[in-house]
Amino acid sequence: MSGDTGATQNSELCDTLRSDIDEFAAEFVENAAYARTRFPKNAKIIHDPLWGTIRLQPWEVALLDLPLFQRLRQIRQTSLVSYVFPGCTHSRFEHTLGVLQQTQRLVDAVNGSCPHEKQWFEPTDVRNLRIAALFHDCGHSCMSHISEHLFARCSDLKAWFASPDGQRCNPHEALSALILLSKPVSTFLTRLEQEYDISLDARLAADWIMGVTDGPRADPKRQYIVQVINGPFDADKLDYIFRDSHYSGIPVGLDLDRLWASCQVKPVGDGGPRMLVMHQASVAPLEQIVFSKTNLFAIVYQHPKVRASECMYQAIVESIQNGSGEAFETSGRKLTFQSAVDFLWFTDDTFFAEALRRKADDPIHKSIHAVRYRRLLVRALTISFDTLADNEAPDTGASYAQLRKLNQKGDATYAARRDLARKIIAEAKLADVLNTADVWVDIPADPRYGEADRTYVVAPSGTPRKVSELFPVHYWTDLFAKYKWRGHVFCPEQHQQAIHEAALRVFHQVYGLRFGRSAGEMSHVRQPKTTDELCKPGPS
Amino acid sequence: MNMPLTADDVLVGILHEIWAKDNSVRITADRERLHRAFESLKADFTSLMDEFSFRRRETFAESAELDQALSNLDAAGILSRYNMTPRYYTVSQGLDVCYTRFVQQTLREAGVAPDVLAAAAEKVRASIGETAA
Repeated sequence: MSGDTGATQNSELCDTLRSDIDEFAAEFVENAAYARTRFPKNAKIIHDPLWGTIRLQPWEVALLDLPLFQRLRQIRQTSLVSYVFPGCTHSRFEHTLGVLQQTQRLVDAVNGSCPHEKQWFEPTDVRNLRIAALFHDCGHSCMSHISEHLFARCSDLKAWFASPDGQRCNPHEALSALILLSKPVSTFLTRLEQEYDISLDARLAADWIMGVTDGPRADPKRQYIVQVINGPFDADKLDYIFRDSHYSGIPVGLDLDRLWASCQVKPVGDGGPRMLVMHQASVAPLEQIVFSKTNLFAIVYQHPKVRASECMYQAIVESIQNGSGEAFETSGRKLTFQSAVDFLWFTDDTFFAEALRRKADDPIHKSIHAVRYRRLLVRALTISFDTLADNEAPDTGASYAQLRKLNQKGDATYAARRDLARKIIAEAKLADVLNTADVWVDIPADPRYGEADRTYVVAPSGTPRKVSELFPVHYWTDLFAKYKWRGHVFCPEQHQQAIHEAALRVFHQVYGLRFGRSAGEMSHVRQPKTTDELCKPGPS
Repeated sequence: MNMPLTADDVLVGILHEIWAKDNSVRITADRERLHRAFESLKADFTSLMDEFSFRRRETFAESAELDQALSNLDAAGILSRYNMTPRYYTVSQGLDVCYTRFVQQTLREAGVAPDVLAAAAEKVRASIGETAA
């Protein structure tokens, strides 16, 4: 394909993406069936189990009242984590309110720390930051981040990322920003501006959602504003760490009062950007953020049952994308998940309800209900540093690195993992019984811990230093990667033994990897084997 | 094809080039220096660095792929930051095994010429390499 043809096709895909988002936004913002007859006149207080009272301005109430935000009540914050931690049923709606509250608290903390005549956050900044907080997750769809991994691969969103307008941000941030900038939302915001005699800068709020720190609208001297919504200890992080911990029952220690009390704005470097910094004596909350994230990933987000259910959801979506299953249908639309916007039409509820529309013998009906009723795939093999045989040997490390690198994002690594699954099925001689939707090689990515390098603390002398210079938080993260991280092979329960043995053989054939008995024991395989028992010694 | 080209392979290739010239070299663990060094390769080695994307953050651009590659190699025991003043990575024998058994072929099949890899390694050597005292 020539460069011109490629550029033209990309441009068309971007145009289609924008018009699809306009269509989606029209349904959830402009649909006359859900229109209110008048805007709220007064502020509103909403009670949150974590943060207490959250106060909303009347225009924020008007926004929150839109179906665009009400649909977030049916999208679980942690998607299928509730299958392991039953309390984790909290929604993106509550989280959005929590982010709004944390945004205000960060702003109040910083403004309160400076002389009365100088406010780092002016009223217009605060109003637009709160708009950004409200919209920051409206680009999520059913199953939250699981869908995000899938719609990141859609060609329309890829085209947008490659376009001049594209930003390096998370896929859901891109969709949230595009929704905020859509025609229906712009029209609604204009009505709010007229009704309440305020000005709202959607373009600026969209940039903050995406974490844009350079470009024509960015002000390097005011980089601290972006950091409130998209930074190392932003409002999003401060809410979800607490909220996910609270509802999962996994305690985390995070001294937010201390963090707010020592938060200030300072320039970093000679003539450098003004950023949110902490006083050096208050670095503990920042370390606690990193430690809490490590714990949540190890215990909650990457729990094997959670990963298994995510693989099953992925299988359902892929069967629709590749045409082997009949398209999903909602609001009279047939959707095949080829476009990123297709995902936005679904919440968790409507996704599960799709099964009810289909006959009981429809494979998609069965697959959805398997997820819904927790009939999940089981582990056949646990892949980790400590389940490897002879894990200190250089050969083992080299082979392990080759398998582990499949956790990089991208089509090629995804295809490689699926190909491994096909090989395992063939090795187990189950090709006439199982297909690739039934067996998954799950190699999770490591959580990222850039916060310590992106956060500055100020010594009494006034010199800013990175948190990573004061305390080597990477020891925690390295230990997680080595000793807490787990990859798995998942399969239907009735074929666990066969898949277990086939996986041992395939990993030895392809990578020369040898696993000890613990790889099967940790997966509760009835007769766990070792690679050496099944294969001749030495790589092929 | 179960061994697609990833950022890990490019990282191993570059580190191997540096290490082959001086196997006492330590690689800085300063995250900012590492990310800046690899970002500097993007402009001159577009094909080689195709697996890396960079996102502008507070004071420097970061690559999620580079972070993941470093984490993967650390988890596999090929790199290690366990030292009293953890400012550098030590490199184990596993790097040579990884390169010889797997990465060399992966890079070749991806069309990465040895002189391109060597040039990229030379460009970042001063930024990320430290000779042990």
